[in-house]
Amino acid sequence: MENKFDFSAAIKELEEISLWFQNEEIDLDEGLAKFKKGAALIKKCRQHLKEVENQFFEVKKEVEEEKSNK
Amino acid sequence: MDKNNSQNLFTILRNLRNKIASQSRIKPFMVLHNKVLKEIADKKPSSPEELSKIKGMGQKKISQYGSILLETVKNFSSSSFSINNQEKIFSVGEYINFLNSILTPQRVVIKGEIGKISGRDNYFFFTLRDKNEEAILSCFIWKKTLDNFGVALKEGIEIKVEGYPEIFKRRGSLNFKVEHISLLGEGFLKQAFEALKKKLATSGFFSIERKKTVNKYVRRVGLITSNFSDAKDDFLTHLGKFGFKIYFHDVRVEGLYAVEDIVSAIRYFNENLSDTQVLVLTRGGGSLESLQAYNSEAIAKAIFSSRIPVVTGIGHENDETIADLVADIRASTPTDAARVISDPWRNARILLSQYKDSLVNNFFSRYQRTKDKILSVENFFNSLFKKYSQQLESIITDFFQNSISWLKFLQKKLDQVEQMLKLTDPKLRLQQGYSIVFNRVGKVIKNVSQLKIGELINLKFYRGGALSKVEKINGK
Repeated sequence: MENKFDFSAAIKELEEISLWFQNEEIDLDEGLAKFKKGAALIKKCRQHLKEVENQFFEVKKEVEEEKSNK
Repeated sequence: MDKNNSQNLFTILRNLRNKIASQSRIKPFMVLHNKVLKEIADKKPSSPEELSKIKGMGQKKISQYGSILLETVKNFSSSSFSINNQEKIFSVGEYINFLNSILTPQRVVIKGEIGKISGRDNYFFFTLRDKNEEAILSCFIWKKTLDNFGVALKEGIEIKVEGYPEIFKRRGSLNFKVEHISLLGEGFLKQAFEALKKKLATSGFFSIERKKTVNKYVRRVGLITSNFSDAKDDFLTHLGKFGFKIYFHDVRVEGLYAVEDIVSAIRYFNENLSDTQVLVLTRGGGSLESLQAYNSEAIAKAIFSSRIPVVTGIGHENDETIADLVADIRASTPTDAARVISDPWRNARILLSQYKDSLVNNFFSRYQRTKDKILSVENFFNSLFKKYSQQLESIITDFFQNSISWLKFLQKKLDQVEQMLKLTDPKLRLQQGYSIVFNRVGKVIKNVSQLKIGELINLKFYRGGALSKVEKINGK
């Protein structure tokens, strides 16, 4: 599931939303929907980054354990 | 008389046996033992049956040597029978044969000085002079024998010869047939040495290109020296324990038979023990005279043509022999020869531990490098994560700023609109004195055409209102 998450696409979408807010749109409902969407993307991006980082250090730890067992 | 008789026959038989042995290149005892010869001399068998009764004369020996033994016995008997018979009249040839049968067994070693020399292509005559009194002996030698012993005949040089006397039938003269010859006296030996050295050098015997390579790590070693000699002990003591297999071949290392022994030993290894990896030719130190065998052409040729490489360790440190020059590797002494053979094994131990160290060092330095590389990759990833998360955070910050400022923008817009609305508020007009006219259904009347006379209309003021009736309509 996490694999399907496209980090760079998410970032791009977040930036687009951010830009939308700079245009002088006044559709409040749309604004709210976009804000909610943006918040969800932020959450997912942070989660994903954390996960990748965790995995990285896990792999590193495995490698180090293997080394010290030899 | 009979005892003398047997003794003479024994000597003849022994010479015959030795000749057969040297022709077949085997040891004399392998042909026939002295004990057997003695019995033959005593019993004088005249038929194969009688011969077979002698202990040690098996079927094989009889088939190999039977006929020549019987012939020798017969010849001897007929001649010795003749001497006992005073009536017998010899022919000249018979008499010389008879004399030779007595003379030829008289094998001796004689020393003397060379006098006159004459000769043909393949043999020489020379006289041997006594140094102390007037006495000469004429000698005969095959050229091949001379070459083998590396001696060049020259008037005045002192030599030692071994052989036997024989009367030459056609001349009636006594000659000493020389079978072994060697030089006496350092001066002559040195001269002979230099001459042979020059000759062999010209023939390429010493050239480096012709030298065989000795395997660095040899196991099967052929040792050619004298048994119970210091040289043998020194060699074996200094060889060390590296799993060598020593094939020892006993030879005489000096004297008239040394050349023959050593040459046949080298040949023996090449023919019968060809898996020998190196031959070691060694003997202890001694005078130039005692090392003479190793300065012979025959040994030089044997070393040169040996397929098995030869290492020499002859004499003391500074002794140089022809054998040394021809050898594939020249060690200075028996001990040094042992070192030449065993040093590679000895060094291998040191090399091995060096290899081990460098192996470990190389491994660790590579390990360290790899570790550093991993560390740098790790750092790279760490910074990558940092970068990603910074990027993300700045986007997030932008997002919130934008959305908040958007909300503020909306608020402002709303305020503007409100302000605008405030300006158009009808209440404000009513306050100013304007009134609004609605019809009965609450619709604002903006035009008289919407009115009818007598219609009831509602008036709205700033405060309160009034119901009115249209009485008159003006304009259109």
